[in-house]
Amino acid sequence: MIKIYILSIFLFTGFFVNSQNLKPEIKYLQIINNQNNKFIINDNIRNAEICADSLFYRIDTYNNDVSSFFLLLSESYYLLKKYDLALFTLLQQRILFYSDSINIYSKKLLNQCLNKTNKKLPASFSILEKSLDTILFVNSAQKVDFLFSITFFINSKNTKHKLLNLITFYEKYFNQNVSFGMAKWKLLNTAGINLKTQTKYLLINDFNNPLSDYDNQDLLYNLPIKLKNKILNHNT
Amino acid sequence: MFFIGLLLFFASEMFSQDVDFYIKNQNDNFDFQKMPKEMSFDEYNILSQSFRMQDMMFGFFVPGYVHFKANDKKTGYALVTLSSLSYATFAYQLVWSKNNLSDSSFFYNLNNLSSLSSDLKTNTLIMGGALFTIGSSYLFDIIHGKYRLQKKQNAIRYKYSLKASLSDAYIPNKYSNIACFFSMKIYF
Repeated sequence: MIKIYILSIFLFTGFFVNSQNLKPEIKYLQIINNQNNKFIINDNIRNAEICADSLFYRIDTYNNDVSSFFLLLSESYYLLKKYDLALFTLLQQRILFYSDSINIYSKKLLNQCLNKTNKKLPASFSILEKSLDTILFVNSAQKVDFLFSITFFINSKNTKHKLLNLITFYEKYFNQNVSFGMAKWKLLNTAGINLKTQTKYLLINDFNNPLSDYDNQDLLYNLPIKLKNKILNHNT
Repeated sequence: MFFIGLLLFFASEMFSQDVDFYIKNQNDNFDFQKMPKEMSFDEYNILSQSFRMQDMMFGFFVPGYVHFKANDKKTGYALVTLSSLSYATFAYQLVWSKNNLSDSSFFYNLNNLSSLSSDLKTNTLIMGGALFTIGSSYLFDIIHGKYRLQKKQNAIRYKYSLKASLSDAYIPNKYSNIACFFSMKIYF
């Protein structure tokens, strides 16, 4: 019994120290966002992004702090006038780390970002938004799939490396192939196909395709031969 | 005579270690400091820079030197381009005026602008403009570069020291580098 007590003290201390890393980041983001000093906010973005990347691994555990962190990071992007990144970070918060306590402010910021970027989210998001609590009951891999399909419609250069990070996280954490739409997007991007062509050949059906065992030929089924050869040559 | 003396002073200082008037008793290269985990090499590099009189001299020969030191490469390269163009314009106009116009010196022409022919007047004004650009870009490099360096250093210091203060595990004693939970230190 004594051994269990000693072990639990060590474990508790470990968790305590681990949870300390996020709280200073949240408090610091609150302070600098309130100051609205763009130089300091921009200086902190790199640190906040490192923190955000590590937080993906807490996808299966509900934590209000994680949710607040993503909201504050989104606010930082908004103050820096990087509206597409603010929108992407907000979508991460609302889909992957949904929290009731910050829902109203988060929704307000989301609408502001949508107005600034002149984007309209697809109907699937609006349907889910009406019953956002149901997102909590979908499994995590599906959440990432959904986030990816939504983010693709933002169609921005700045979110490209974020999405590639997300795919790397997906493959590493869930230890499975990414969905058909994600794989096709990755293939087009690694071959350096521009955004305009991507939007032409990436269809909404690709994101709804349940096929999990696919090869490059399956992914490139609707592409013209010239483009297909370019991508295949690049990937071989 | 004064200018020769000044030139000799700067030339001798170029080969000395520095021109600051204090002595360093500590060898900074072997002072390994404890730093925040998230600090990048760029941040570390900026934080360990300081603006010295030597940089003012180097900045005269390498345009944009202080901006490069402050990791502000965009402005640094802009200053390199501007200074190079100004030097090239000045040299071209100097050669052109020697070949086509007269043997009179540039400074003499600059003092007697009203009595010059239109070609010589334009030539002198362009050369004057080029010299002014070289001088002003040098001053901009030093003054703005120093400002940028200090601003970046302050931002880094503010960020990490405030984060350290906000964390609950913050230890105000700078000599203690062991976690406070399991350790005890006695100083004599």
